[in-house]
Amino acid sequence: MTMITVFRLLGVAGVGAFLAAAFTPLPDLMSRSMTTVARLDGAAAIVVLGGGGVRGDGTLSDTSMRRTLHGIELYRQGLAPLLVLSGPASTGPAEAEVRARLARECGVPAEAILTERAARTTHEEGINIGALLRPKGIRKIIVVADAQGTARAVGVFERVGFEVAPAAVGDVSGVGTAPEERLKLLRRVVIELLARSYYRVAGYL
Amino acid sequence: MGQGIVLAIVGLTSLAAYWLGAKLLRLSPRTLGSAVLRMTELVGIAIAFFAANLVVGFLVVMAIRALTNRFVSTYVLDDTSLVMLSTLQGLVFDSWRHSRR
Repeated sequence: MTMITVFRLLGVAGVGAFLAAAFTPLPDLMSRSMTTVARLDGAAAIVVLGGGGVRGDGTLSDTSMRRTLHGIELYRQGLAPLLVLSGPASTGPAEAEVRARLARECGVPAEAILTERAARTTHEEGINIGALLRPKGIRKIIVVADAQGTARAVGVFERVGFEVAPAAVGDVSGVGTAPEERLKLLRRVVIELLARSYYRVAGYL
Repeated sequence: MGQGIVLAIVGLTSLAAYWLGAKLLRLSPRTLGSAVLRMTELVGIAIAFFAANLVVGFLVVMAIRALTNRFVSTYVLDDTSLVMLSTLQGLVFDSWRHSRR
């Protein structure tokens, strides 16, 4: 097989994949197959994973805001007495601190909030939050993450000894049929698939 | 509805381009097939460059983490500019390849 033939096959596959992704429900189906859904019972803590960080003006990114608000909502539903907010600092305030301030403003008592500011990856969040919660005797947690990332998040936290219920943010039913929205969803799906592969090879799952 | 409009627009401009090519530039419709084939080569070369950029980028990020105290997220590779730059690389490479003939 010549190099030109390989390029042509790649090209045909690429064009086919683009058309399938932009003009069919394929990205929705792929995303749904990756999303872990569980019935949420009571737990000892709600862990909101970091994501997207803090913008230059000090506000949370859209991803971080969505996750934080979902975690606050679950706390207010009485699903756990403790809210753990994760997120490191970049050039400004730590994402965890900005989230904690938002939680307090939404009525979550300060004594019910724990922050984790050092972890920069999901794997590090598992390690650091595990070290934070295990001495308190906490074993059952709810993990708040984006829909596509719930399986990986559950795997990471189960590996450090927790019983985990996933709470997915970003329901795919709102994606719609616009080609650009589908391509954005496919991008998230592909990124998560690559992340999962890396975590398996690295032994984090 | 949105995707239907997008496809209709592209269909209309494709028909207009075909008419322009065939009537005004006197291009042979029989060579349209090889033009499509050439397009797939270009797309394939761009995809190859994109994959190479991702792999090299990942290795660079891991090397920076291992060799320095700096943490660089792998999400720096999640940038639309990488797709465009890979496409430009593919166009240059293909033009260079064809200049040999």
